[in-house]
Amino acid sequence: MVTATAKCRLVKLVVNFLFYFRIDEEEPVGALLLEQCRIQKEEDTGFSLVFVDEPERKYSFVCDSKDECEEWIEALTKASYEYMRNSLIFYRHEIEKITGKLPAIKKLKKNAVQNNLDYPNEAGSTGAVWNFRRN
Amino acid sequence: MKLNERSVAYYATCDSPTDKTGYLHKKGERNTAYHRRWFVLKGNLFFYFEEKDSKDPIGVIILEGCTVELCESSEDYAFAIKFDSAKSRTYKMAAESQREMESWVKALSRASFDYMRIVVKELEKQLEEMQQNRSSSRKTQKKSLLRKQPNYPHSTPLISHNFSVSYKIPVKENGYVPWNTIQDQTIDSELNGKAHSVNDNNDISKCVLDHPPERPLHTQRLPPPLPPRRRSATGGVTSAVGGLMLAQDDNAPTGVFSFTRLHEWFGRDIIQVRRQWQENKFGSIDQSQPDQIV
Repeated sequence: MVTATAKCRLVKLVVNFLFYFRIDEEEPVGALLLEQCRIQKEEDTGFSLVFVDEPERKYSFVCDSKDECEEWIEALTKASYEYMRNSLIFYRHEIEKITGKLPAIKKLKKNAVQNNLDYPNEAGSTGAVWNFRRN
Repeated sequence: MKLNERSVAYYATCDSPTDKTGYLHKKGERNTAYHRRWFVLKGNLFFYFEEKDSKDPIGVIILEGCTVELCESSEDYAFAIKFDSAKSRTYKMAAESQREMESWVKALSRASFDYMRIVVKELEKQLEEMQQNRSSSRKTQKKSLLRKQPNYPHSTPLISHNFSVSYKIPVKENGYVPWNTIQDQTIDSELNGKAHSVNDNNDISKCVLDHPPERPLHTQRLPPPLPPRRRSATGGVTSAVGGLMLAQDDNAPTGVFSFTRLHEWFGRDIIQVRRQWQENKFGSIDQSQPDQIV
């Protein structure tokens, strides 16, 4: 029987990556890409990450409090690029329903080459359907 | 530094939406020749493979905090991906045509997560403003059956379990007839949407919850059936707008709904459906199964 011991780590969420550091170390020990994963509440003040391609492996975390745990779960759920993409589609559609046309994005940033920034990329070549039924 | 490489490689090749693919020539780090590689852009991750049909990527460039610029090079149609940090490597790339170069530079420039986040916030704000304008102009109109509670943290939802309540057809506002007042309407949600290419905004699949689709999803205009009445986990109020359950943000003004709450609502139903399916199939529920959708 294998018993896992929880190690204390400083955990930092940056965009869709979860970095973890040993206390007082500058460089992270490791990182987890937060795409194609599920976040699950664990008993008491814990949560775990399970990746779609490796469902038997759980990355478990224990927080100091239930509130903190809930905050992490919420933050990690929203941390995937795919989640953001779906939010974008949703809001655009909602605005379109009201105004009858797609919303405009103000120029947000100038770039060396382009002057007219637009929506983030709209994926489509593989035509994946985000289907709730799929595991 | 450790990385969940296997899952990262899986993400590169799984069928999640791809933003752009194609051949590019990449300048090597030690071997400074340009190598032709197959590139796949997914979100803020720029994967490259030895060949188009290679099973696993040989590398990935994380597109955060970078700029994409044209650059001087021995190669034609060259551009560079530069990072803020002096320690970071500059990636020199060359496309195979002017058009491809422009297309890649455009795609890579707007690929960052940060940028996506800014745009989503902007749209969220726009939608919020529109809804506020609508609700303030509605106050002067005859009330529909919708009622909203002023303070929500521990309120009970006002939705009746039986959704076939008759509504008055409202006056059109800005040419928009709120579908919420049409009888038996259910949610038209793009939570399960299919993201299409830039020029095609109409053909978006609707996912139908609970009921298997009789026709291909993309031809259906039927929105999914409603989640049953429930109190939200944090006690937040939900208002019934016809079939749509608006999950109100505790910190947002009345009438504003957020993608996050809807995501949670739909997620719960899916979890339930999946559990039932598992029970039927396997005879018992595996307690270790993840129960949250991301």
